[in-house]
Amino acid sequence: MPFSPAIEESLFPPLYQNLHEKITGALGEATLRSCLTCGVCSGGCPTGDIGAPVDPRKIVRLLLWGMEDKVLASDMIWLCTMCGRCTVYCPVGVNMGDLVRALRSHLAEEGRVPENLQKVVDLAVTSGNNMGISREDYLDTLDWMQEELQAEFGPRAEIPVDKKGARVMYVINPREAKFFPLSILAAAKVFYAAGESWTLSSRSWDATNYALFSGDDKAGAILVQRLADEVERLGCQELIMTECGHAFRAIRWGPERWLGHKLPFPVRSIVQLMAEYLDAGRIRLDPSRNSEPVTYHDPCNLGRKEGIFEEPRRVLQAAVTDFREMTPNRENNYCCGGGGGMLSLSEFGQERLAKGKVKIEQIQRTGAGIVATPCHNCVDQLNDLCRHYHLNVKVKNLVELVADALVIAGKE
Amino acid sequence: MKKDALPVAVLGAGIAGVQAALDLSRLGYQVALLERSSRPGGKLTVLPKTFPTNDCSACVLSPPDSFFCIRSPHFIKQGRDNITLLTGVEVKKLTRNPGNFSLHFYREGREEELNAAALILCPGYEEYLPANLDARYGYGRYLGVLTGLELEQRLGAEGYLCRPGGNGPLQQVAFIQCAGSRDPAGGVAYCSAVCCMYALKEALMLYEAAAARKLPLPEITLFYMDLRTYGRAYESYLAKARQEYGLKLVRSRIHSIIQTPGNPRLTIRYAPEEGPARVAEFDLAVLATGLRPPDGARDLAAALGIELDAYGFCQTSPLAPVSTPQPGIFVAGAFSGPCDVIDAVTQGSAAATACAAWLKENGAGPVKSPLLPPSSGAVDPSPRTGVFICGCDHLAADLDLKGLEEYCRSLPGVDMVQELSLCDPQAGEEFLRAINENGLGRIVVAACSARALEPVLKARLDQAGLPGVGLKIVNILDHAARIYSGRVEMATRKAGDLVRMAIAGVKATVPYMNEEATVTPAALVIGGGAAGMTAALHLGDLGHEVHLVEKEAQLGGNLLRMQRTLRGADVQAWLAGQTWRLMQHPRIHVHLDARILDTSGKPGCFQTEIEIAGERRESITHGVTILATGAGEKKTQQYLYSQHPAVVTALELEDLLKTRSPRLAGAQRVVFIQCVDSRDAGHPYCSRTCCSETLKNALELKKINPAAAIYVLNRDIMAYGLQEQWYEAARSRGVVFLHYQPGEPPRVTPLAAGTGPEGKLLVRAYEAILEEEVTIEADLLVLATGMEPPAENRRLAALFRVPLDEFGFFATSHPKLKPVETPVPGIYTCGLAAGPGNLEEALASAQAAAGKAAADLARERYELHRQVARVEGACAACLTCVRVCPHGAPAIKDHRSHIDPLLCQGCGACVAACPARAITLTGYSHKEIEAELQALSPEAEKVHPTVIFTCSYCAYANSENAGSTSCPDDVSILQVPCLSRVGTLEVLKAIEAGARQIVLTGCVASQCHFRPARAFGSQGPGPDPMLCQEQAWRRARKILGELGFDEDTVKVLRLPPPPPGRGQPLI
Repeated sequence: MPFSPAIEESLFPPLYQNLHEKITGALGEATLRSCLTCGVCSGGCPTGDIGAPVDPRKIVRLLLWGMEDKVLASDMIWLCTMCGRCTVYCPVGVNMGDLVRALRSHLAEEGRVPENLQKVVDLAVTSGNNMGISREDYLDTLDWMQEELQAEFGPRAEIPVDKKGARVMYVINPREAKFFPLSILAAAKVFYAAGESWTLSSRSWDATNYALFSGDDKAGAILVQRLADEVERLGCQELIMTECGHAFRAIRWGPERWLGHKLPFPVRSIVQLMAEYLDAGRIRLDPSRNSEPVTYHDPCNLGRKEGIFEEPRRVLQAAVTDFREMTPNRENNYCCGGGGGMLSLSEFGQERLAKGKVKIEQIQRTGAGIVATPCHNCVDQLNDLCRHYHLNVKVKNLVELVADALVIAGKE
Repeated sequence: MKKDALPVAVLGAGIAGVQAALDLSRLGYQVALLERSSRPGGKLTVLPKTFPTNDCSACVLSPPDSFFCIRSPHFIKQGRDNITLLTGVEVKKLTRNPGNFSLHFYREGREEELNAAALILCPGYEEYLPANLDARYGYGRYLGVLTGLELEQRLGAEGYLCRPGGNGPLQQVAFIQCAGSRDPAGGVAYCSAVCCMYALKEALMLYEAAAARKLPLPEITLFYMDLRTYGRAYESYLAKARQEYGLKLVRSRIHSIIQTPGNPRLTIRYAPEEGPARVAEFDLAVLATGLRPPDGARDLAAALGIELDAYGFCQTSPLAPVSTPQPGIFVAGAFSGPCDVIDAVTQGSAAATACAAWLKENGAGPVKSPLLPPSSGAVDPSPRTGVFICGCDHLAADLDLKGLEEYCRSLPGVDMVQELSLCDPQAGEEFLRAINENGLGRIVVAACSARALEPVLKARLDQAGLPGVGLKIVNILDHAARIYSGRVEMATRKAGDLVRMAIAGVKATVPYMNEEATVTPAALVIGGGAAGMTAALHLGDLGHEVHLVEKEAQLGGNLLRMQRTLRGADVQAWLAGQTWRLMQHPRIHVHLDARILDTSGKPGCFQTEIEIAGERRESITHGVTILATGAGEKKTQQYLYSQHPAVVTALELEDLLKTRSPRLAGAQRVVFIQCVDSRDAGHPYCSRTCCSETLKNALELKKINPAAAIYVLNRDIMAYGLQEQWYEAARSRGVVFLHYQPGEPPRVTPLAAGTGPEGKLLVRAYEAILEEEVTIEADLLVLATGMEPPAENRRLAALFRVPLDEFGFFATSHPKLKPVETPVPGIYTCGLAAGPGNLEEALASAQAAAGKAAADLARERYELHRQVARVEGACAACLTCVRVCPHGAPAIKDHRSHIDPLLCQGCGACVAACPARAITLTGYSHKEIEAELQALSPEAEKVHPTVIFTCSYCAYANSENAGSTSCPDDVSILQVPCLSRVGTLEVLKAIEAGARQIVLTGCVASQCHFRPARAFGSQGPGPDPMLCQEQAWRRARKILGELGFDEDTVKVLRLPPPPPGRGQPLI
């Protein structure tokens, strides 16, 4: 007689006590059980019909029927990009991103994180950044970029490193130092134009935190603490994150969960800071320098998770002549398909590209030549997608477009 | 100030408030009906039809001696002037003082004050538009996204919708349920109770609109979570949409709607219960937006000291569904929680009853209406004829009233012509004085709406002891002044024509027999369950003798087995209290262990034989009867019921809970199966209460053993309205709900010996989301079998000559607007006998029935006031009348047709159809109509007149709302009760009188006032009045064709209920 074995267990089997505590901790006591099985989440998840089915409702349902084993062994946990589109309209407020992270956290404790993702986290913890870039190489890159900056703006323009008492500490994604240093230069230009007091760190400069994806809470704590210590060491008043969605999310969401307290200083994205500069008249832009049609991709971590929808749009409206929204957008936007650590999970490469198809269609429909997005993760995925689907569209960070449009008094 | 001089203030003139006002007025109380907006009628005025009858039919609320139409500018008119309607009222201050509430309000810019003995709160609801409607569904941004209300208004105005932004018929339409409701995170947590049904209605409207235009039917998909077809007639409504039109149901809540630039189609991605998510495109998406508490509810509650619930709806007292904890304050309609029209109307009546009982208890009895002089016997009015012309400003503006007066004086046979402003408070006395002084027996009144004025003037005549005076009212405002707008001479001439024809008609009035009976001031209530007890107590409290007959040896019925209601009220304590009150009540006689043997008599005086304890017989005389025989729990053959000890029904679980059976504490896994023997071919109705019973009991079991695993296998959880919160509570406490398909029900087997503990069951069910079968080893299986009417109903229905519906419950004369009135006057039904409902719903319906019955008993005499058809001529017993009557009134006895005056509704179908012209209908007999037609026009050859016959309902309402037109033709409009009264003969007579064209204007098919609402028990459904009409006219056309007349000579114009102020002209 075929029994569903889990039903034989009581509702909270000791075996999964830890798991259920994690879930309850993440979602609250009754949230998961309140599920109406209405299907809003599964209808909102863009992956359900592409052959790599993530079915958020099924995850909840398996847990409610006491089939934890099936859930934990399921690829769905790692195929989910935790983009949160499913959650926006959930009538009972089941936060799927938090639920999937709780499941990953349980798996991390059991040492069941996929190898490639675990490697990235380990490298960040051991080497100080997730690409294992040496301090020399990093500083060399910064020197080079400073030269470029000074060539354009004169000797007073700098890329300060470890400048104690600077108002702002700015942290970057290692891919900038390694592959795309021009985005560091662009940020420096903006800071210069705004007359900002800022610095980079020579020690803890990596904004990213893949422990957000892997579920490794210990590593998450270490990485967040490093940045907190460095802000304190340099005596800065504010931490500004590069255009990196998950990094921003990790440092806004993580401290209370991992360290047990809020950070003693504010954290913002450079996108918010740029919007503030514009509003205050600290920078002036000439949009005609970006005359190609531009569309905007809302990164899930910045948008849906942290509610930053309007600042990037204000910045783009000022920086480009032809801004076009993609459909859907804001809280209904589709994930690029590379979130949740997918870019590190080479075993799901095909699925990742398949997930991005809907995104490519969205971009294509706008007719834009440039897609701007304030997330390095999204930039990588979008570049991959454009190559794979043969779409001739450039992918840029916002800071690059802003830097190109800067109007500097006396320089013209 | 003397208490009984104060009126009751009813706040809100929507359908619930109007019903409360009408019933209170019939109970003899003065009512001030206050309405915030500029016109009464509430939300229904913007809806051309409401479920489940798919009609407006609000006119059905009209009591016999009154006029009521939410679409008429005259709205409400009563024979007795008990209701004062005040519109545009903004209440500023309310002071609570039971027995003397004071209300300060602004009206037309002035501050006014009113003192009221009691308050009935009927402020209704507002449409709830959640904040995320735009972002989520593109509402307001995408052309094809409408709310349900908008769709209905557009269908009402345009008749049909094309594809938005393009041409061609609608192809795909999506209905999106719960757009804001059942959404604790993004909207409101409660269920709005009406959206599933209104979506089905609108889907039907879309199908019907396409079918009527011979366009391809749209493909309609309805996205829902639980399809809440919880009313008695609702399940068949759904079946109609699915089977006749192929409505597609998808159990899925959609995430959002996307419209990509450049494509007008709407993309919806949804996850069905089973299998991967899908994408579909639609032309139109209809958002089922719900209800929210009315604006100003908080202020109202604060001023009156009443409590609102967390959502802002008015909290009622436990087991007193229309009472608030504050004395003298009652509530009805959606203010106490989302509800449909049926519940709103029932609660309106219930509130009137509860309010009247409270006033009586507090020494403020009703105002006795003046005794009418007896008038039985043949009435043959004097031939002296008078004309009254209303001098109203509206008429004076477009008509030469002096000229009209002179013209009337010039007509032969007119003995008096007088101008009289009918709205003037002194008009009534002047009217009677003129009649008496001039010895008039036949009267024509030229004024405005005949249907509104008639009850008022008839009541005046009755009070004056002149019930037999022939009276005709012609609407010279809408039928002369407004159709010849700006042409005073033509309009005046037309007014003259109409008066001349009416005079001819009224002079042909035939004498008739006036029947009346003395009302026996006692009520018989059959059934001593919750409804019967409540009805008896209210009747007793209102001062009437009551006989309560219960078949068992104990009062209480199903309640004897219930512990608590879903809301937590203690049923046993309530039952004990009510039983004690009943037993010691001086006016209530309780007959236990008693059954009805026989009954005879007529309305107002029945005589019923009962047998007590199988031996003693007693005879009860009573003026009214209330059938409250309840319903029982079905016994099923399914799921090992009565074969395995672990299987119980819901009521049997109540028994276990009542005795705190140790079985329950030991049950680790409990499975509930819903819809057992319900909503299937054999029982095609939802029992409405089983889901809430299950929720209540599941929560109770969780209290006894929090670790118990509870599974509810269901088809749809019918936790409508505010009950949704208990569905949420059950889920959040860990109760697991699983939807099963009717074609794939759960399977139950005993646990095989040796494989586990004895006494357990294996329940297997397909879990669609997981796409696998789940197996539960259950200690207890509870079957929700729903309710069925007692077999005894058949015998009682035959005895009392009342119909049963197709399921065996007592049928009411209109399933939506007359929820407790059987088609037989003086016989009411309530509680479960009238259909499934929960305890509070049953109590409300019992209160409603008690009030209606009390109003009958309050009259000393019962008159057959309505115009009914009578067989007076040479009947050949040809059965034509039997065949055409929609209400089953005629029957052949002794080779002659007899029309039962109790069943006759006065439509005139038989009068028109009778080949022997043997049937008369006062005011609309052959003689009268022919006389009117003969007076059509002395210059017919010159003016080529058109005759329009208008029915007294929707078509008439259209003319009242049509505004001014300038008609080029000579048009005479004649009023008939229903177009059924116009047959072949009338058409031919009109032609003979010189009419060049005949237009027949009436209601659209589904809106006919005289449609039989129910199958009449064993007699089967009556014929469709529409079909009879069409047959008659086809014959007329054929004859005309043979005589060489054009096909177009007879035109038919069917008009829907008009939106107020926007009627279609009849021409």
